[in-house]
Amino acid sequence: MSAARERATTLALSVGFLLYIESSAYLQDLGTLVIVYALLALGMYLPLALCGSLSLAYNAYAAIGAYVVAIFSRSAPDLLMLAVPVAILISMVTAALLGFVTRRLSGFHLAVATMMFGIAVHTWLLNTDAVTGGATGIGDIQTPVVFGWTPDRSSLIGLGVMLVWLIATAIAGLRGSLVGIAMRAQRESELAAAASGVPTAALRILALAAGSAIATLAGMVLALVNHFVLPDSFTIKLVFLVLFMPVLGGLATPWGAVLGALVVVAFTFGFDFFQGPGGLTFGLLTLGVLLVAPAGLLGGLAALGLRLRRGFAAARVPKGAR
Amino acid sequence: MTALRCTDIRKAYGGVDVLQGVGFAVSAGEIFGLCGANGAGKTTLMDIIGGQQTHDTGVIELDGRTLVGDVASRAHAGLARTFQRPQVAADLTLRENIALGLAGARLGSVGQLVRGFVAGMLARTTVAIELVETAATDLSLDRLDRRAGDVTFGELRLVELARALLQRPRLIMLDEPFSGVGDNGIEAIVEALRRLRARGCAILLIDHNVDLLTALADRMALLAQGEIVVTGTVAACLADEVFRRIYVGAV
Repeated sequence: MSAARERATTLALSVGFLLYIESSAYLQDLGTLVIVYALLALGMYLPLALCGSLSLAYNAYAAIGAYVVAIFSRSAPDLLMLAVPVAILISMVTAALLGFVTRRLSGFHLAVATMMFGIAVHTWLLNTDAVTGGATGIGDIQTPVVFGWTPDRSSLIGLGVMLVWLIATAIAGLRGSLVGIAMRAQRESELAAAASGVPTAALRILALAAGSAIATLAGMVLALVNHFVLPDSFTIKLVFLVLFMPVLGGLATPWGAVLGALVVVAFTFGFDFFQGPGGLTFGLLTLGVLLVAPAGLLGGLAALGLRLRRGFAAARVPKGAR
Repeated sequence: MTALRCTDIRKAYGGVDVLQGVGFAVSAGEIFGLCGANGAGKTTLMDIIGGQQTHDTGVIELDGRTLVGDVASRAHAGLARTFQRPQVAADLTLRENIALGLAGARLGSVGQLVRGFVAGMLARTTVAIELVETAATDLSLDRLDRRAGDVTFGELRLVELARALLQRPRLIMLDEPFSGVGDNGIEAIVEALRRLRARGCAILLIDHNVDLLTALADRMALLAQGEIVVTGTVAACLADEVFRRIYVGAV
């Protein structure tokens, strides 16, 4: 699919999704979850799919986004918009530092260091009552005033959906750019990339920082739509749930991460049938998809489309010509 | 004008001297052939110049400046190379693998990196397709949408060379560029090397094919047991008793 066509198609689907969830408050709740998970999955997708860097601190970055918004709302409500750049900066610096200290070590070390950081942040949120409100979190988060306009819940969700579209589109653009080529090349042959002059370590750190910024946005959406934050929204379990999404949807495009988020929410929350054994069902579902289509749902669809088109092309060839 | 100058390069692995004070110079616009038996230290020398390995003592200069730092910074200083075992990203297309040469040249500083990143996200970069296509066509490469993991060894050598050429290097080091390459490819490589030489690039060439090496090189050196035992013009080397005994006789 051409880039322009992909943009148009995904934009139409995003608007359709928005119109669909408009119909009820319950669907809007689920829609918010899809937005939050999609942003987290996109944040994870960028360093993982492009650079091969597995960071597991995404619960921490989301928490930074949510709590910085909550603390600004409590202490300096007039400056609430300032929470956006502040939270993003904190996350990016943290991610860059974690990437920097592990830059010469294997990917395993990055995964362990970031996971430990994520667990530490959750523990800190629980135990630092004066700053974070402890186990009860922070409530009454205000809605920011954007140039004199106070967006209502529906508008905030609409903005969230557009944010997902913008970021997925941006990452899709990045994939094919020179920086994207350099990132994917160093993942497979660091020797070739370095010999060509690509600063491989700096590139990986940049991807980790950008990914953390996207995850921070997820936390902000959650805090602003729900008007409260709780530490238990940001346990390490969140990371493992999100980790499946890009893989389930397909790593070849960032839209795989978005599709993965949608499927997870639909199956674990949307259908009553899956309500009880949701986690188990989801685990089995992922396993099933990966067995049938190792490239994920979108990868499997693409392969199927190609096969069908080839089939039609072959069928059009007159019999005598074969 | 001297492009590359190596002075008294020494390297030992666990008590075994691999390079014992190697010194030579390659001028701009010159093809310098390096030959020697397996294990003589040719690839080690190339790795040391490229920064893939460290050396114990000795000085490497490129265009009069001491060459230090990591592999990527040496590439920015004007060094490009290919590998004895072609190094490509198997999951990327040939086009993307060749474009990597441009990426390296244009993403040197952190500022360039961030700008390239933002431009990529805004989908405003145009990967200079014509440059990549021209570099590929010049080396008789076609069907650039194939995965690098799916093409022959010989084609990968051409991909590596095309990538290295896009870096517009001052010095290019080629480790057995002809092995496994078909006749068309060899012809294309020879043409490319002549064009590079005419442009004033210094070329350091390792190969086992004596006929090709002697036909192409301006000057040569024979490496044996980590030392340069014979060096000079191709004619002088071919006339040299030691060279004939060790190299020509051995093949």
